[in-house]
Amino acid sequence: MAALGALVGVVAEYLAVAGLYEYSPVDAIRDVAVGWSFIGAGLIAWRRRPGSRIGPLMVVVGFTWFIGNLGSAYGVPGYPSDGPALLLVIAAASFGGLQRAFQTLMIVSYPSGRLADRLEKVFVAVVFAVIVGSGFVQLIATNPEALTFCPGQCPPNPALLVADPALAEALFAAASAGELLVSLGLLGVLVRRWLRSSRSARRMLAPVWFAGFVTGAAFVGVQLGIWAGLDPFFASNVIQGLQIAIPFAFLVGLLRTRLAYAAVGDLVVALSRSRAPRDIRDALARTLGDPGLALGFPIGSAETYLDADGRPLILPPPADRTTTELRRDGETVAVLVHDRALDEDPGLVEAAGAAALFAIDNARLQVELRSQLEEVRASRSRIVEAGDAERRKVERDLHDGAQQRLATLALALRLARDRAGRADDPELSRLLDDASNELNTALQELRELARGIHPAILTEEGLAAAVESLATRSPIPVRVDVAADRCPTAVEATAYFVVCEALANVFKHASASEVTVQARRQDGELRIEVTDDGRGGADPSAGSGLRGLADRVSASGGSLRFESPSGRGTVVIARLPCA
Amino acid sequence: MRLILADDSVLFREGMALVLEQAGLEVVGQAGDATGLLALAGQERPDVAIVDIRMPPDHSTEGLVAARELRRTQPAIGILILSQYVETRHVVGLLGDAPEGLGYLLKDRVADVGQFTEAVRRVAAGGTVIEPELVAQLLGRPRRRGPLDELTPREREVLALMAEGLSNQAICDRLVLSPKTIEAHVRGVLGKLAIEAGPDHHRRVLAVLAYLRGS
Repeated sequence: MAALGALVGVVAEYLAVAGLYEYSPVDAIRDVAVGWSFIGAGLIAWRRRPGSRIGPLMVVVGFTWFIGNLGSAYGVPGYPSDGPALLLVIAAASFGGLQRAFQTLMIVSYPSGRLADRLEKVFVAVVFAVIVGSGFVQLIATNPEALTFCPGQCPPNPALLVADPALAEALFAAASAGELLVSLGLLGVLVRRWLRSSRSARRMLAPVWFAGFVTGAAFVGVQLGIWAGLDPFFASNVIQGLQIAIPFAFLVGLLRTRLAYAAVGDLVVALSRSRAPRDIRDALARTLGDPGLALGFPIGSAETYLDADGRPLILPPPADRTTTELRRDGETVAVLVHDRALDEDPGLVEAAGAAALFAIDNARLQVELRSQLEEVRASRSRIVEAGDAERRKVERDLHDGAQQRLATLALALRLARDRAGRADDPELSRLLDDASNELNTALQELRELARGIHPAILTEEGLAAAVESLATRSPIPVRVDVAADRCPTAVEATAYFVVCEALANVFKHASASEVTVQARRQDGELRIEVTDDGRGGADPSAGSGLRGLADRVSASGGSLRFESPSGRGTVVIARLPCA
Repeated sequence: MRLILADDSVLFREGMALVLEQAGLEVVGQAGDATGLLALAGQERPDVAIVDIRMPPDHSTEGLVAARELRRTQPAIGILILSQYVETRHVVGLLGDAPEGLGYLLKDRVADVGQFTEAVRRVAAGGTVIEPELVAQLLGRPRRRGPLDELTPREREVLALMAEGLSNQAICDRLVLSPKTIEAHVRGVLGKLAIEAGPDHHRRVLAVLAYLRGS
């Protein structure tokens, strides 16, 4: 293809240089350079981004560029002056503008080579219609007699249909107005596309659009200039000179992605500084120029993803974003949710992903670990809560079942006892009295048991009432200073059991004369302090009771501290979250 | 005397009704929950409602809530609350600052027909009945040395009976002592503990309970 392009270019320029008046070798070199750069840049693009149609399009633009030059052979002595060959030369001269149509398609559809929406499709169709129409006008209305550069030398136009100079003049004016309008339209479409683009899309496309914009603006300017009486040769030279900006801009665009590849190097440096998931995301976002970039780590099943902050990531993303999977050993390490525009250069995303792969894998493990930890924490607190619920249920079952039945039984025994009394059976009366007394003891024991399992007052009235109730039953004076604020049931239950266990330890080991139970809700936490004036020196690792409680407290997201200096009493401090 | 009973256990309710009727009290209606109790009370206008503290739907303190409502709408009806547990909080919540015609007893007491019917009669007559075990608990609670230690055993006994809601006359009957002796003891106790309470024994219950809770 490159060779063919080179050949076509040389042939076209040979024709041009050999044929045209006032055509310098410099112009020829420039012409060939423009065509070749389109074809060359197109081939590079085609190879590097097979997914984009821009490469082939640029090649087409390059080839169509030479059509106009082929047309330069018109009227040159020694070149076809009649028959189909002459018609071909004239047609080439007339339809040289096709290059602008393809170029417009290329600029508008950059970088994918596909038109984004209906408006752009309609616009490009109009451009083609106008340029083809303008070509026909030139074909059928160009009268060699009227041409300034070959008076009397040019062979007659075999396709000439419009002989009337005035009509021809009008047709040319209409064609040129049409071309002016579509040039203006190109400016509008480019402005519209710029306004609608995301930041990373702009960053990537800016140079090409700039070139397209400049060309479009120049064309409009030149058309106006021609109308204002400027030399058409000068005007067309200006346009052709600007044409070279297009492949050049494309190359700059490519170079810019090259620069982005260089930024991958910076990414590696940034990643060596911090391995935190959040920092990795930020570094990737900077490298790819997509501030909204999200990193998703697969957790557990492949369907669930967590972002760098450990929040669930919703996939698939909204329409303007897309995902790229980063894999390692066939396993998805992470997904990048990024701007669709970055898809135009999958190599860049892949390069950045590959550079960050180890850090990302590391981050994935961190996120996974964090989520597992969270899961364990949640499950631990669920277990505690389930245990509490079970205790409450047992207490309630005892209350509504055994206790109630025994109370009823006590009534029945009393009725039987009355009967025995009336029947004057002292033996039976005594037996029934004994049974009643036994039953009362059983009821009392059952009551204590039920209270120990889960005091009803805790659920009914809260921690303050429950601790107060505990204090009335304690063998040594307990001062209660518990604020009445309520906390979630699980927190109050944990606090209650901490107080129970701490008090039990005091009664058993401390030889204290007084205990103080203090509980305050402050700054989103409940702080419980059980202080005694006993002998201190207690070893927290000795009793399993407090250790079990420490587990329970930390399951609720709190902490338990224990201070027991010898001879100076013991204080147990629990802090539980209570928002 | 006309009574209504509220308890979600039918068996216990029936047993209690039997016990009370054998003691010569008339049970004019039974309810299984607080709503039923309030309806029944409006309908029957009994002298006393005997109410389980824990009833459907939440099995928490529905009985207490219903008692307060009953007190507000029909203050003439005496209310005796029964509970499986003694909790000072419950008593405080029940009595408020007007203990007339209110009682709080452990459920076990029902089987002790003599004591129980006496309690029902006291509530019906506008008196106050506080569970003796609760008073014993408050009185026996470990505390630092203080005025309570200055009381003689007899004075402690009088103090406990005052806390249970007994009037001077009732204390006389219980301890088989002369009114003069009882009055002397009462004055002695109140003086030693520095409890300011008038001759009204309703106010006195509140003051004594407050003292025992606070000290």
